[in-house]
Amino acid sequence: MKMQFHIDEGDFSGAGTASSEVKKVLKQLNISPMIIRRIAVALYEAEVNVVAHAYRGVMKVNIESDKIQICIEDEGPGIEDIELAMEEGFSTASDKVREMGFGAGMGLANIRRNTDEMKLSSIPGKGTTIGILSI
Amino acid sequence: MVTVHQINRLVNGIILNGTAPDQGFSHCFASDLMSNVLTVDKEGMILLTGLSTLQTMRTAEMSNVHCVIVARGKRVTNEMLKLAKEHGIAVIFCSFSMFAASGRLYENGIKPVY
Amino acid sequence: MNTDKYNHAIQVDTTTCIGCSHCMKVCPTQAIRIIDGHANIRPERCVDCGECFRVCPVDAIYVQDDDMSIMKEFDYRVALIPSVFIGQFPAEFTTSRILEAVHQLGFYEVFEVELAVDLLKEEYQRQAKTTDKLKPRISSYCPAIIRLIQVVFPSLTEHILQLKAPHDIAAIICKEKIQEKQQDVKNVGIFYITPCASKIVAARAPEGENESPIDGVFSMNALYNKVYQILVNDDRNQCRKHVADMTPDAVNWSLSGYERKYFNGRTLAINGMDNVLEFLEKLESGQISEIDFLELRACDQGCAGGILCPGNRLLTVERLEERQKRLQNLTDKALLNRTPESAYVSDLLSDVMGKAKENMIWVTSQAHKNIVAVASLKELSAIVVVNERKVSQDVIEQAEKENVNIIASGSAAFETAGLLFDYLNS
Repeated sequence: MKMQFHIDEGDFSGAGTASSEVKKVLKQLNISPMIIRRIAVALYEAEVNVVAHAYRGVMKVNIESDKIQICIEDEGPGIEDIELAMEEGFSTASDKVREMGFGAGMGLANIRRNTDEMKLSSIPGKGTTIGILSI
Repeated sequence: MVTVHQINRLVNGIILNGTAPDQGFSHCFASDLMSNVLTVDKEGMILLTGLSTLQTMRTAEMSNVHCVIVARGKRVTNEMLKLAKEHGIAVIFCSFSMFAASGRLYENGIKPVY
Repeated sequence: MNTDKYNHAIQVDTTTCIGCSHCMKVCPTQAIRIIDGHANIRPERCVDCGECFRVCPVDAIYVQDDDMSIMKEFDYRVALIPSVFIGQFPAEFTTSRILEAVHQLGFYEVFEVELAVDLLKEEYQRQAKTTDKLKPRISSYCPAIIRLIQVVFPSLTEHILQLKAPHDIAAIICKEKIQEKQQDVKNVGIFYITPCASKIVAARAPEGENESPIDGVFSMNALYNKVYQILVNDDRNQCRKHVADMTPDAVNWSLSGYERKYFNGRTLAINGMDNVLEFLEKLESGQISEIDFLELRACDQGCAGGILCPGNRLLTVERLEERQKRLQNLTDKALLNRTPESAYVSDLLSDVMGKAKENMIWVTSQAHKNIVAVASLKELSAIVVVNERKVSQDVIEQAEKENVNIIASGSAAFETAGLLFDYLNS
């Protein structure tokens, strides 16, 4: 089963809607609650990342009987140093984002922790793509 | 284990939304940073926060948190309550500071989350 | 004590010795005899106090320390410096510059011995309570005194406090800290810079232990010249800022009259071998009954008067007292003495700026640089960074500059707040 969502920049009130939809669907499909939670957290963090750092993004979800694949592609400034970005506590968030309660630098680490496979690639000046896999 | 009503009494709060699944609460995580909240996973956990935004509710939803205390007397919007009702999250409005609310809960046996 | 393993640091160079017997006359334990026209020291009676060293007119008596070339055998070299070393230098040279110069001699880390004193202080309170039968208790700080009592006043040995020497404790702490920080470092070498001969012996063969945590001992005399050269020739005037790792009153522990303040009750500080001998004789004859604690130093002015200290002992004491005053000022300024009445728990900086009040303790998981500015502006008494958040070096430096206290906690914010709430309201 496939789904697609648009994520708009700066729309903090909307952040989480895509993830919430996915979660709803997974629940309906009777996927185990533990897996749902992990995916929900990972997606939410990724969605917030797009809203906080990029201009816009797209979330593509592919649900199969044995695995769930999600790809989030954004158009934005990209990530200069991926290794640094993955470090817990490292953040390039603006003050506005911090005031929203995000930007603690935990996002990417949280995503990795909650997925079986995570691929992160980025072209500085163009955008970032994150692919996650949950079995 | 405490109920939503008992928690409300401890922090001298007002229950803005009481529709939470019938469960007891034993632990509490106090933070304004939602990313931190997403790193913990505990059944029966209360989220105590001074961040009163839609994201607070989203975070609670994503982490399966069913009781949120909004401290510091921060306003809770209707939008937030709508989301809370949709996902069965009890919301308590409390004018105490995070410090005082933490203190009250801690001294009454609510445990921290690690 | 097994005298086979016991190598004395004080030695006689018989080729220079003229047999004048000045040394024999001043030895407190009568360890010296003149044999075949030369001074001969009986090892079982020598306490390495160095009184003989002081009076020898031809410098035939010398102190056997380790040659600095042994440093090569160790990969990670650490220097342990007593505070009297800092006092050897004119006041124009700051502690930071002096320790930086020591670094340049080939040490990766430099620790001050007195950081161990803070640990000892607690023990003093405890020992003071269990004292009665063994009044007066006698300080275990000066190794020459311990040996003196063992040799000349053995009935008083049970009065001596059973505490490790600060240089031993400091060496153990250093080794642990290094192993924690850099787990892949093997072959750590800890080198103690000594003000006297008796500490050389104590460092090599600590009382009651089979081995020593110290790998080498260098005489302060030897190091002084090298360090002085570096200081005088270094006009860059930049160096790492050294943070004194101890409370201000630990600085002067090795002098005379400071240690005794930590023992509750009636205490006396006696320094200089003649004075000590006179008093111990009276004590042994049962003529002293009202004293609870005796602080004894074999050298005049305590370690400032050590035989290997090149500087004038009185100037050294004065410099150390100034240093203590400076540190006291800094800790006062750093608001460590402020009493917070309440705490503020928040990760949102604008919130703290708006609502937090002066003197509050701020509990947060934010560990980036801006927290320092906020704490400084709002005059908060301390920031507690929770959840084991790593506080990076540049944040620590910023905090130092602005006199902001940062405390790191491994607990969660909820628990920290709960505990503080409990504590502040009780």
